[in-house]
Amino acid sequence: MTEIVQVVIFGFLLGGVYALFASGLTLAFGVMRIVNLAHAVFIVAAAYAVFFAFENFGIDPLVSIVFIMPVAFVLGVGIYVLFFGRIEGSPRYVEMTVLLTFGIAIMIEGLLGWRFTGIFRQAKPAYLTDAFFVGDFLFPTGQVYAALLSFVLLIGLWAFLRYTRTGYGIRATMQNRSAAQLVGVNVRRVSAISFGISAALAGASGAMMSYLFPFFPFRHWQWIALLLALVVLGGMGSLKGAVIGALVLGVASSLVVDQIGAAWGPMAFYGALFAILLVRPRGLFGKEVAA
Amino acid sequence: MALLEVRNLDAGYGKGPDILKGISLEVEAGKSYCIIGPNGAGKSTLLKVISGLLHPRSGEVAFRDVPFDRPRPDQVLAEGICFVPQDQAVFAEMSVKENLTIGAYLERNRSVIKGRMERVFELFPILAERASLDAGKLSGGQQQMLALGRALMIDPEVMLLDEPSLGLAPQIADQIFSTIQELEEQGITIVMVEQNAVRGLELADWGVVLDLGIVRFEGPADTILEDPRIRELYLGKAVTTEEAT
Amino acid sequence: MIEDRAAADGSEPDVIDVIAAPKGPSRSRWVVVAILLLVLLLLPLGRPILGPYNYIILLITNALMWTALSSSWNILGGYAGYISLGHAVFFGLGGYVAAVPLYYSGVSPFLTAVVGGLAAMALGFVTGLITLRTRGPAFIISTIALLFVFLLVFENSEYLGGTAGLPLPVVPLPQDWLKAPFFYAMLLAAVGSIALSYKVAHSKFGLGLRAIAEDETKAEVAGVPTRFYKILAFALSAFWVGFAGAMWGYSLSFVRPTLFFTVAISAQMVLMAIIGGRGTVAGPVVGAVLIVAVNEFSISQFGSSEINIVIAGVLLVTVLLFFPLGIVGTLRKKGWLPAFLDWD
Repeated sequence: MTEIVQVVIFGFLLGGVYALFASGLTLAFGVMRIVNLAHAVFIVAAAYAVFFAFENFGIDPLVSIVFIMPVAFVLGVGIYVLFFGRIEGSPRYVEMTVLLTFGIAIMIEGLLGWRFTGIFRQAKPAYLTDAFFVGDFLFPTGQVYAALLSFVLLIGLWAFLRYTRTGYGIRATMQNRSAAQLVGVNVRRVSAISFGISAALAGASGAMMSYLFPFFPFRHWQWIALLLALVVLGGMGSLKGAVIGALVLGVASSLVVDQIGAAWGPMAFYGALFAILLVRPRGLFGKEVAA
Repeated sequence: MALLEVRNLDAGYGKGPDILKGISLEVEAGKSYCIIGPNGAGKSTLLKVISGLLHPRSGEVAFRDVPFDRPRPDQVLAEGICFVPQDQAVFAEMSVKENLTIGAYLERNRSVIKGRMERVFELFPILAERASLDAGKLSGGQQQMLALGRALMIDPEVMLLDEPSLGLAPQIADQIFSTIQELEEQGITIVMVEQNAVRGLELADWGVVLDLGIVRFEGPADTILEDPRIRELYLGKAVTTEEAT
Repeated sequence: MIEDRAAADGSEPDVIDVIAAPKGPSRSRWVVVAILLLVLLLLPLGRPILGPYNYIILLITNALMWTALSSSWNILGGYAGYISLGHAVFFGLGGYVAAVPLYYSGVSPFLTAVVGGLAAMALGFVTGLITLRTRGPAFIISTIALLFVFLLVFENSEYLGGTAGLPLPVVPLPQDWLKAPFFYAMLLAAVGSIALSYKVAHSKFGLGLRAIAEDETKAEVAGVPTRFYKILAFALSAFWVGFAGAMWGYSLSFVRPTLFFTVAISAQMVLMAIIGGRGTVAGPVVGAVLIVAVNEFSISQFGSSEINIVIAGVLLVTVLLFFPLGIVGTLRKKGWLPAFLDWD
């Protein structure tokens, strides 16, 4: 019994981090109907930045979040304006975003590979190998920090969306784009800001990835597959769905790893994906899929 | 000088044919206009062009004699022209209160927003009762009231209404129409598209008949209503409200 | 009385311009094709004349294989507009379907390649049943997931060789003629997939696919059996990919999960079809030939393959933003399309 609880604890901690990783992805879809296949490569790119900041300047990965998020925000807005501004309102828009972000992902992956080569990187701050006990249960410090920080960031995101004027505009755009325009929301601006936020969330995620999950450029494909499966499970465009989906899958994959084997963890994600497509294609909290 | 003018407008969707062909219209301040016509005539399209949701292929829309140049809908709103679309007008997942709050998105002054919301609640007491309910859970008539109320939060000069009585039971439709009448008395310029041509023309000052993308007839609303040809073509062999009762 | 402006107007409705009269099938196209085929059929026999024989044969074999892959992808991705980013899964499945009987029982892949194609079709059909029920991005995501599921399973299966894969016996032919059978196999795949693509494009099925691509709701309402068509297109798009995978594995003399079940292969297919011109018959062919050439060039210039990837990405993004119809599509739009590329 104790072992199961321990596994579930690990799962929760992981899930909390997955929730942050996936939040940017689902936000981009919810606001702008962008399926951002490059989201994971953004995270990896941020991980590289944080890694080198740690190696060369000793800046703690979690502290880097303070710097990486604004930088990522600006880059995100830039990428949106540069690439997505052009295709706004074109027919088959969602499909275009898939292909476009696919291309962007390949570009960034190539650049990362060229600059940094394919060796595995992992930042190793002290708390990576620390742990503490609560009762009989082991809590790895690094993961706890990451999960807590994710929690804080997600609450911050929620509060921003709920209580600020821009947040209102974002939520309105998510729910009903044309009605939002008719109340005076500048949906173009809101979209660019949302993409920036999505990128900033990816930046924070990268800081966590830098020490939690060894990475190299090509790795992002595995991550995006996982995150996309998660987002579909939770419901595309639903932040609530992403968080709950992440926690559920975190625990599920943790159990799979424990019971079946380390390599099979991701199967929990893929299995859940195909199951939800069979049973409830719009996901747990998603809206009816419009063509 | 007309408050709002449409000059020689051609408009259509995507690569499709022109829906509106050389439409010209003058809207004077404080009056109410009712646009009628068969389906596909371009009535909703006209409102969409004025509100900035669709851009014309040629011709222009001018407000106080200043033409719009491919405006965004929020820019048109900022000028004081508010569009209440046919459907999808409310944010179903937000509460009534939040819907009204976001209606005042362009207004920054908290107390002004509060004041306007109170006025909307006075106008539609039933909304006050349901203030924290999600808009999606309201009945059709209540949603329409919410849509109108939301439009009022920006204190518009011109309201463009696309089929305000669509899908509503006659009594509720009556309520909506009398509200619209009140708004007109308060000085708001109303341009409405109405399938219920008789009621719309009874309410309005001026009538416009749109057919096949052109303005086929226009004139004082009661004259339009009485005109036998128009009655034959567009009002059915129908009835004045007197004959109906 | 109110004036009736329609009566006053009296103009006739505009006469709709007659669309330019359809051209008859251009004879010259077929002549070009015939010549091309003849050259290709005879090429491997021309050892004495060609200089760097192996290199040329290999290059063209490559180009033929990618032509088959991108043309196949185009059936679902181009005509129906459903992007499959995990198409490499069919490639890998075909590869292993041929490799396993060879490894364990010595069965020649030249016999089992077709089975590989059929297995791929079956996989496409079954997955399609689950994933093509919805519109929107769920399908795309599921194709990526499918690819990774296969990667995971194959990497962790003892029987299938695990991460190291299965080493395969070399083709029992004299050294000089080692490459020739694969040349012909890929030629068959290329011709087969182009022919399939052509047939689909010119059928009622193809018309239905295009309707789905443009507006699925309207297509459904108009009576197109959308779900069935999509699944069929997916299955058809898998056949030659599986076949090619079987042949490629044999030509390499080994199969390995990371080499076959990789996004890079899917990415290339997508790239080629889009750059060449999605939704056209000739587009994927043009794209495949072009990208193979570009890859060759950039490898010889820059060596490392990372720059290749960056170039590919830049190409894709540029085409998407500025030439969404691809080479063939854009040329056609401007009226500059040479006859031998015009097969739609």
